[in-house]
Amino acid sequence: MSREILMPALTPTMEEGTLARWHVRPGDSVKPGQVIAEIETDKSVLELEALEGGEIGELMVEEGAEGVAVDSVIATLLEPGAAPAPEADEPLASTEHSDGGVSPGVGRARPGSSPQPRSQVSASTPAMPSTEGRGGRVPASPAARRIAREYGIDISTLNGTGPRGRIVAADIEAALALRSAAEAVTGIPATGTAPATGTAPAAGTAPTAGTAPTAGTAPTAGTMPAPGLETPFEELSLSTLGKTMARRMAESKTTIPHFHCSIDVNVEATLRLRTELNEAENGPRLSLNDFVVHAAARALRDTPRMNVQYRDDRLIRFRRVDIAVAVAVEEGLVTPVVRGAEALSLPDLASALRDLTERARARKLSVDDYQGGTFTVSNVGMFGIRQSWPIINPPQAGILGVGAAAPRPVAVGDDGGVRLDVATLMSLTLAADHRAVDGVIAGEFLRRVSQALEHPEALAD
Amino acid sequence: MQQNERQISLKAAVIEAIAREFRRDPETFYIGEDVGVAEGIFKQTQGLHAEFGDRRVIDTPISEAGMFGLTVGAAVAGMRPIVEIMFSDFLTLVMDQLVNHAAKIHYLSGGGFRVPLVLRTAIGVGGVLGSTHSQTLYAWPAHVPGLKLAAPSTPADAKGLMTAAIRDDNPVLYFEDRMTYNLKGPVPEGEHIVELGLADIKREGTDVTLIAFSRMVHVALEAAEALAEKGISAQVVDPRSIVPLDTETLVDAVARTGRAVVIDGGHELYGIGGEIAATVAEGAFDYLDAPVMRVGAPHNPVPCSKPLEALMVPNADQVVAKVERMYG
Repeated sequence: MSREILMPALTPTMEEGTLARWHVRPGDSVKPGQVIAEIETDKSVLELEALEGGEIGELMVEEGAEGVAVDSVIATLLEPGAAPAPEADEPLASTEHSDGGVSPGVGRARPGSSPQPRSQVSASTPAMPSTEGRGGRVPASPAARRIAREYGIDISTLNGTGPRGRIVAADIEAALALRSAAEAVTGIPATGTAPATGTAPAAGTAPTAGTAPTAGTAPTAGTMPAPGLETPFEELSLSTLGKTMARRMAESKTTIPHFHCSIDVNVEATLRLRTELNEAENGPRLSLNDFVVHAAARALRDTPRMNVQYRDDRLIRFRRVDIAVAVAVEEGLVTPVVRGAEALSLPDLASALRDLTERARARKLSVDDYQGGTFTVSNVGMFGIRQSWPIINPPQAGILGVGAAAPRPVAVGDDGGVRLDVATLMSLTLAADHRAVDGVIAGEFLRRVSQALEHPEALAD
Repeated sequence: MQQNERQISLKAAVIEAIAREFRRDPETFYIGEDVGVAEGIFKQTQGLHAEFGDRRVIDTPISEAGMFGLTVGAAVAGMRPIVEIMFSDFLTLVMDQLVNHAAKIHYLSGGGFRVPLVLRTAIGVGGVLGSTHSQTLYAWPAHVPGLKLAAPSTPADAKGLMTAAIRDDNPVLYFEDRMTYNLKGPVPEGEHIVELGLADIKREGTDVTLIAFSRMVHVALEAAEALAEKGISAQVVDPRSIVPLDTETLVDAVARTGRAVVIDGGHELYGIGGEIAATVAEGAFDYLDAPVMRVGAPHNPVPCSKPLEALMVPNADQVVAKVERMYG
């Protein structure tokens, strides 16, 4: 008498999946816990394990078959000779999946799922140890084995693309990429040290006990959700841009010794000039930020020691000022670059900035638009923020945080004494890489920016 | 920076090295068949006899065992001879003197005697010189402790290695592929020394390391060009000396790329290529993404037929094929 093995549901909502790979052939004898197939959903690849031993009768679905409906028969399992006969005609190889960390909250037994699970899917994105299922050592290059070891990937779950199916380094890298993708989906590190089925609480109890393994039992070391996740939460997908930003900001704050210098600039003259120019000229409408970027570009030109980058015990001084400007888009921040900014007139610079900003918001930047950059300007003044201490955009050596221009009380001094007045001030804060520049250079740079904005006559060319 | 732009042939570079050392050390002399008045059958001693005369550039009868024994004695007595064995095929004739005397005297005398000689000999296949004038027999002496072996690929290395060989206090076998004699390249003026045991990276690359010396470096460079067109970035490393072998550089290079092919102009079976392959496989094991491959000459005497002879020289196509096999 044969039993049927059914297509498992990997998530409560899954209706069909791809049978990515068979690990067995008709006539193979399988042991409980042995991986018999890999099932692929749009989110991950999971392994289907036999919960009962026996001999594989027939494979009903071809390897690579897509759109295989949940609960359809994918294979038959012949009873080992001594085993007691099962209840007739009852599809016994229905499935449960233990939640090995695929997705918090989805691991519960599906209501109405078969009471006698015969096989079980364990999360294995990408790895569950199961070499025994292959009947011996998996062919893999030493480099592949080393990288797999370093990242905790079980090579026995991978398909080798090298000669004669050998697993090569590129296969491990692909598995790592898949793992990253899975992490992005679940937010939970899918470490390759995910437990073997044999150690998952659910596995050993399943075949005959009649108790469906439940989600609560499954997550184990390495896949446990972070503390505090009992608080209701939802998972937001992180865009590539968002991930890149996270990585680069962490890299910057942990590897670049930042120091900050702040200066208050009286921008009244600049604001007056801006009004004049905007009323008089046909050129682009100028924003205060255009003046700041322009002043910064000229100050970098005149303070070449600020237009630098630290690279592995070497200091690079750039012969051109390429200013990146931080532009907020929905997915995060982008920093398109105005190249040769020091040589641009104010209207040209303003046009270039507007073009980049508009294209950034329209997602129309090309790689060339945001690569490189020798310095960044980040303006948060539009939120009324007075001062920000920005994080350097690596590998650059400096970023200028621009606050809001607002009337503030100031002490005005002259020979006759000091009195209190009101002036429109703007705080500029420089974050600089102390490996590349020091306070003297930073001060000189900020003084030049400040002077250009307080005496903008020369600025407008 | 521009001073190295002078281009001379490999054999001219070797002659330059010898002449320089002859001028600075009167204890040096050159001995061999047709090396004096005739200036060598490949003109590989051109100008030496004219400058240094009969007493320092000595023609001998066809008598390899005799002239080599003489050389060993002279070296033990404190001179720095260069002895030319016209083809490495004729190393067979000096084996006893080489293996049981030159290689052993320093050891057996407890360091009492040194044997600072250079054995210069030609290897390589081409021009249909037949089975007994076309062999590349550097694997034999490489097996014997007490001998050093150099095999240059470029004129600059040829000059540097010859200078180092002459000044070395041990017997150094200096192998030149006769097909590279007229190869031109930039050669530093004045004193130029390439220390034995230092490999050189002839081309940078990231996907596969091609290890080759002597003429095979040029085969490797040609293969690297062909591989580049297929999108595979090949690095070419030239050990330059076979003994001592720059294991560190070789292993490091292979560890970086994860793949290696060793190209050896000698017979592949039991050859130097196998030795180097084993060395890098051992050292870079955890970094290998494919088996280390060899390309060498077939296990066959060099035929006396031009088309068949060509089959005895490893070529770039073979190297490319080996690399492609690593990718499945």
